[in-house]
Amino acid sequence: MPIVQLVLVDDVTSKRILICITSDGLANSAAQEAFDLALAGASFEQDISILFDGAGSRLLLPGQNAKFLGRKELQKALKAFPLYGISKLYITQKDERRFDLDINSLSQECSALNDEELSALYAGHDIVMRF
Amino acid sequence: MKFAVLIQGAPYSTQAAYSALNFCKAVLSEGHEIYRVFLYQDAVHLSTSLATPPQDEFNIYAAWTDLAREHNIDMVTCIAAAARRGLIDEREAKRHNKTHFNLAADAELSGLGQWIDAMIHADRSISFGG
Repeated sequence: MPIVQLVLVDDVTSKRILICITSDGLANSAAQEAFDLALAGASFEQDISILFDGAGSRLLLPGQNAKFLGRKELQKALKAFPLYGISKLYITQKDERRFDLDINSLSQECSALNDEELSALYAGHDIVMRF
Repeated sequence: MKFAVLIQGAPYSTQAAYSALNFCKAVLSEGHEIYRVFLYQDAVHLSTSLATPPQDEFNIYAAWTDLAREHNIDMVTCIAAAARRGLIDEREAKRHNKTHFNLAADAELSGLGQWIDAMIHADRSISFGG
């Protein structure tokens, strides 16, 4: 089912853009293309935040070898985020429990949000895109 | 009001292109403007010149071409996503030493900056198929 998102945008020069990644980066190219968009947005000085949601939170697990599955290694792109000014990375506390993630040993520093904080995250952005 | 439309899902495999088509028709019929339609991920397949759906099925390719021509809609296909999936125009074919190209005549290849620009300048941004 297609997910349709309609959002109000106010600022004409810089938008607050939330990119939700729900794919783990191994099953398809969605995460890779989300990363491409994030880096492009940051290059155009947009305010980029990334929510690693559901299976997408596993992108942050260190020690992965995507090339083994014929996929581009996304860990390098993750490490490039700070160079592009992308520092607002999030997972949910639900996924933290569900996938037994240790927030302190993920490959990038991120915040784990509860349901209330997650709602505020969505509300605080002009544009939300899901991959 | 200006709308930016992102299509992410493949034609036929998903409803994305069809839902976006109906959305754009509704937007235009209400007197609004489509700032740009950007084809990303598997939606780039909408730009092929080779698709030939059975005659008793809805032709999503022709429907989009007709709408874009009628309303002069700026439709952009992501060049990286398209090349990755084997969709190239004549110029890209020459650049990559390919003997053929398959991008539809009306389609335009460009980068993700076109979608960023659309998000910046449109009043509303909407995505289909993510």
